[in-house]
Amino acid sequence: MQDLQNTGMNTEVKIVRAYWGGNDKLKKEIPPIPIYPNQIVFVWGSTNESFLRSRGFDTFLMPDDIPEIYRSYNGQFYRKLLALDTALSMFGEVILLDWDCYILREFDDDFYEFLREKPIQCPLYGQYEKIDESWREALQPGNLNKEGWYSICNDTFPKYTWKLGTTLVSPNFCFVYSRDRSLGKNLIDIANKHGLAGCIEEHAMYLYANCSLDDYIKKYQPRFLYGVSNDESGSDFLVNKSKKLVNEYLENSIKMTHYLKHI
Amino acid sequence: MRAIHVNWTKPFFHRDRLRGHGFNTTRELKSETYDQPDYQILYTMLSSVYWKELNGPIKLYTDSVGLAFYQQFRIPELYDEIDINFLNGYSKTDVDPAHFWTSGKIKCLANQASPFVFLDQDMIIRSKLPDSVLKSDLTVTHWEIPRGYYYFNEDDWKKDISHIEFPEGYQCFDWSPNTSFLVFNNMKILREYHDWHRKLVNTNGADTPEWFWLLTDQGILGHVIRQGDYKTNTLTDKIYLADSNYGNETTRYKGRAENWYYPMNPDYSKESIEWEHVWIDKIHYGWLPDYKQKQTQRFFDELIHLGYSEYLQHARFAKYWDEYRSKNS
Repeated sequence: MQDLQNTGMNTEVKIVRAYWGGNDKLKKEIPPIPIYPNQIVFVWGSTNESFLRSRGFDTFLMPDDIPEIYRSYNGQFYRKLLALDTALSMFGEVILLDWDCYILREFDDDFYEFLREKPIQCPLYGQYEKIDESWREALQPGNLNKEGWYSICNDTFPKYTWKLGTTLVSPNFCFVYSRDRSLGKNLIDIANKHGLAGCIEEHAMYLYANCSLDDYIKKYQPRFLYGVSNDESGSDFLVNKSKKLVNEYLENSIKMTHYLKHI
Repeated sequence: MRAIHVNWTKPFFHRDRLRGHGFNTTRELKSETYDQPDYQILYTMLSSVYWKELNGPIKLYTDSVGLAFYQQFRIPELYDEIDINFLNGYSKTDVDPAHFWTSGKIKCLANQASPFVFLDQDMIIRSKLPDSVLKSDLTVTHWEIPRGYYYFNEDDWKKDISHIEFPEGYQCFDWSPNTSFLVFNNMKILREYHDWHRKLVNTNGADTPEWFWLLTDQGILGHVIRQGDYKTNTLTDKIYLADSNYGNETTRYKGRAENWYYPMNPDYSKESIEWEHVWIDKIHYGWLPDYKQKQTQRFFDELIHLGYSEYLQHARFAKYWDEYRSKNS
C-alpha cells in the first residue's frame, strides 16, 4: 500500500474561511472534517474556535474589536473584510471561500492559469430589482429578515450594483481570490467611508472596482464559477430568473470552465 | 455490523471513456464539475440511513471532490465516519479510472482489517439482517449466470489480453458473484481478491476489451471463492441471468428468458429480507425519462417518510417537493 499516502487535494493557494456567531444553518454547512489541507478558518469567539478545532480545522482567532456599527446583524459581513485583510497580510495570496461554495473539480494547471490571469477575482450574481418582493416570494417566512434585513438590502443594492433590465448585478463574496495584499484594507476603508450596511463586502467590492459591468467582467470575473450556480435558478421565482440572466450574460461574455459551485 | 460505502469521483472526470452499460446517464451529464443524477443522491441517502437505523454504523470512503459534493446536501451527517485521504491517494496512481471505475471500491475493501460489510450506494437494505446471512467466509448479494456481452471465454482472453495470463483454473461458465453487497468474515479472501485485482488493473497501458472490467470486480472474486473453496452465502438464493429477454410469467410459455431463477431447493426464508438493488434499473432510467422521474420521486418521498426532510432542502430538489406537496395536499 505504499502508493496510498495522505495526499489530500492540496491547493497551491491558501484557502481561507470565516466563521462567527452561532448560526445553526451556517454550522451545518461546515464539513465534519477539513476537505483541504491548505486551509485556515478566521474565527470569532473561543467557543466557535473550539468547535472548528474539534473537527480538525486550522484556525486563527480574530480579536473581538469590531467597530460598534458592524456588531449588529446588518453589519456582520464586515467580518469577511477583516478576515480577508488579515489573511492577505499573513499569506500574500489567498482564496476566501464561503462555506457553501464547493470545489467540485480538482484544481489543475488550467485553474491556476485562470487565477494568474487576474490578480483580484470575485464573481457576479443577480438580484431582482425589487429585492424585498423577490425574497418574500422565494424564501420561507422570517428567513434572514432579522432587523429589517430585506429593507436594508432593498435600499442598498440599487446604489451599489449595475443594472441589467430588471436585474441588479453585484459582486458575490462567496469567492474572492487576491494576490493584491492591499485589497482587504482598501475594502475596509471603502466600507467605513461610505457607512455600508447589509451586504457590506459586496457593495465595497462594487465601489472598489469603480467601472462598468463589462469592464468588471474583464478585470474581476473568474472564469471558473458563477456568483450563484444554476442549481438555484431552476424555479420561476424572480430572484432565480435574475441569477440565471446574469449567468447567461457571463457565458456570452467569457468562456467559462467551471471548477466551483456556490449554491 | 459495520458497513462501508465508497464513492471514488475520479471516474466521473473520465466519463467519456467510462466502461459499463449502466453509465449512460452519467456519461450524458453536461457538468464540468462533479455531479450525480438526483436519483443517485437520493438512493445513497436511503442506503446509508437504512443501514444505520437497522444494522449498524457506516463509514464513507470518498475523496475531496466527493465530500465537497455531498456537503451541499449535508450527506456527511448521515455517516458515522468519513475518510477522504485514502481515495485521494489512490487517485494519484495511474490505474485507469474509466476502465476500472470500481477499483477505488476494491482498494477500500482491501484497506479493512476486520470483518465488515460493503454496500454499493444503490443497495438499500430495509430489513435487519439475520445472523444467518452474516455468517460464512463471505456473503454476496446473489449469483449471476454469465451470459452475453460481459462474459468471456479462454480464447477471448488469449486474443485480447496481453498484460496477464489467463488465470489457471478459471471457470468461465461458473456463476459470478454480484458484489453490490459483501460481508467479509474471512479476511484471507479479501487479501487474495485484492492481489488478483491489483495484477489485473495494472495493464501497463495495454488496452482491454469492455468485458474485462467486470472480471476485475466480480469474475475474479468468483475465481478466488472457488480456488480457496471458501464458504459463500447469499442474500437471496435467486440467480440473475445476464442478458435476459425481460421475460415474465406471461411469456414463459414460449421460453422467453427471464431475469431471475431459483436453483433446486433454495432457501426461501431469505426472501423475507427486504432489499432493493437499483442496479440494472438505471439502464431503464436512460431509456424512460418518466420512469426515472417516478423512481426518483419514490426515493425522495421515502426519505421524507423516514424523517429526513431537513436533508432535502437543496434547490435542485424543489420539483420533488412540489410533486410531494401536490400529492399530499
